[in-house]
Amino acid sequence: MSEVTLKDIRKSFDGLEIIKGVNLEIETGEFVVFVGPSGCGKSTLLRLISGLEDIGSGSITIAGRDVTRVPPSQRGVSMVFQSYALFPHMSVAQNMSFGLRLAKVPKKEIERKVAEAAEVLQITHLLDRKPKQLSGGQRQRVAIGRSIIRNPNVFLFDEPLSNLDAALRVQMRVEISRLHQEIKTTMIYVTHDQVEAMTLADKIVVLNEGRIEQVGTPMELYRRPANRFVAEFIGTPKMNLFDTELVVPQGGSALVSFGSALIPVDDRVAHLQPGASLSLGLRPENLELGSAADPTTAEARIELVEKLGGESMLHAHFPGSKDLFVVNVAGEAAVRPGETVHIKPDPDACYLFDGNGRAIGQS
Amino acid sequence: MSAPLFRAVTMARRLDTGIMERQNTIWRILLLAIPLAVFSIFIVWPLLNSFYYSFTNWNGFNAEYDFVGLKNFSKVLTTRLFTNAAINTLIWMVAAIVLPSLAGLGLALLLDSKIRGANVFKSIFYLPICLSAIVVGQIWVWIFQPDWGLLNMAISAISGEPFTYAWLAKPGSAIYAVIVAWSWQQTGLSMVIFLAGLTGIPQDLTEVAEIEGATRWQRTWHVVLPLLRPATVVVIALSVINSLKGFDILYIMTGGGPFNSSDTLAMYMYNESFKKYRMGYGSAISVILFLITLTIIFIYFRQLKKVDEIYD
Repeated sequence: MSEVTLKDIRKSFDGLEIIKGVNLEIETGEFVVFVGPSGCGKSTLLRLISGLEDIGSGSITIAGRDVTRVPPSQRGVSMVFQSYALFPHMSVAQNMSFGLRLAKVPKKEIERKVAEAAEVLQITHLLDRKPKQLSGGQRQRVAIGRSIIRNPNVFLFDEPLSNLDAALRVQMRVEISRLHQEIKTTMIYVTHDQVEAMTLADKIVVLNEGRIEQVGTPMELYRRPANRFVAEFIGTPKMNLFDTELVVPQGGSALVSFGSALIPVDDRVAHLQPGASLSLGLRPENLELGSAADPTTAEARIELVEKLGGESMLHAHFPGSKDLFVVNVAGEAAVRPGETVHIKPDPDACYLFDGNGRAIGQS
Repeated sequence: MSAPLFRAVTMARRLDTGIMERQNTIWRILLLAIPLAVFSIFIVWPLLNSFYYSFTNWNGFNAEYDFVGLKNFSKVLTTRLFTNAAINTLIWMVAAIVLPSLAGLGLALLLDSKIRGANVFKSIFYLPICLSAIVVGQIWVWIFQPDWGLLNMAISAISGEPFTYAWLAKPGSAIYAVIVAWSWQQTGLSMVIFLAGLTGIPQDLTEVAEIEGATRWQRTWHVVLPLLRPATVVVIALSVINSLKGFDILYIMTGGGPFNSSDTLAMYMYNESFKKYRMGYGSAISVILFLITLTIIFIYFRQLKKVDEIYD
């Protein structure tokens, strides 16, 4: 059974439609990540699920109960905010037990639940401290603890790691993932960081301009993006896209141009006319340096070399073009900016998109 | 760059930096000297003088006076008029803290929610603070006027019988009538400070409380009010200090009367110094008032430090 069901959700602010008809089903125990660029509506969607915003139209069901008009506290959700939202005048224990105290839960039970949650999050030694005396990571643990203690049906996370530094973010990511495996509660997590989305999610929901672009597992989105937007959004560095057109030589198989080279494409373009405009997508890791003698390589000029230690990012462009694309090569690249090289694409890993940006099969 | 040239450039840079730093220091001293001079002439010098004269029997006019030691202080602290003024000051202070603070808080909470025309109401409620205490006093003298004052006319209209109570002329009501006028003026100030405090409360905190099951009242009680503590400390400190200085509105509305019933320490000091020409005695009252104010400011700073320890 679905834990959360969103049916044709719409929301407008001051006449401007922010959420434009979202339909989504989230299974019990699933870790779902809403990802998308700033302003795509992912946080708004989370706030609609939490009840902090009223929906314009549509319906929300949580644990089989229609909660569309139900106040936030009765939806069986808990929320972790980017800012941690800890009450500065309360101790860690008081912050964690806030909801239970309001609900007049017996003191002994509150103490037991606080101790249990603190144990899980390894913050037992911090229970008497005030938020000001905690580090960013500790504060976020307390905020998560406050959520756990209520035993909600659904955890909502609104960019919880954005305020942390890079190292702490990685550590907390691992801890959130571990927590999900331990408590197995449905989690909905909002982030603009696609690395967070890829590493945490059972299912990713890619949002753009208030609409769902694609829903799938991280690898489904990576390997079979439904459109140009998803293709570009998922993967670091992002997928290179080249404007190209379909070439079908007399009696030969279909080809698309890649700079000065031609790449064979399979039957998926059989329905298209020769000369059709397409976008060719190639991930940086599916390009490599080749030799001039190889006819499947295209000449390019290196603009910038980023050496990251284990790999190098080569930023290059084709002669006569200023559009840069990225090539990911293993180790330390032996090329310099200004040098002319030959780039060899992997024809089995190329993506094709039609004029509307929709994916055309996959080779 | 050759080594000697490098040394020369470094030295020139150091020299430049040294000159600039010296110039900056001169500017800083000059700019601080102006307010310091004003502060010294109008605050420090009269204050020191008050201390000095509080040990004398100077009448405010003659060049001759004698040192009387602590006689003025012992007299002040044992006279019935001082006790009366001190009690009135206490009543005045408590009421002047509680009424405008509570009214200001109420208005701020009301106007902070999304009600239509909130900005217009904010301006209207803030308006009295822009008026001088003399003007406010005169307005309320008219409102409290026994025969044609707005208050008595309203009471007459409601009760259907003529009502001509002399609010400012009766010892039982005079100080409270002035407190009402004072509160009316000061509420706007408290409201603005509380509104600023409310603006500083992150929305996330009230939202998380809402998700945790707090009702609107519980959110206000458990989250908003504790987070307004820094603003509350400022409001209370300002109310205390303003109320201790409260003189002009009392002077206009009652002059400390009738029968000293609305005499506060400031009023008492004025009457003794300038009406009875007992400048030495008046100075002793002002020194006592100063010490009370200093104690309150000390408590205020300690509270402020506590607030800083809790909040980021």
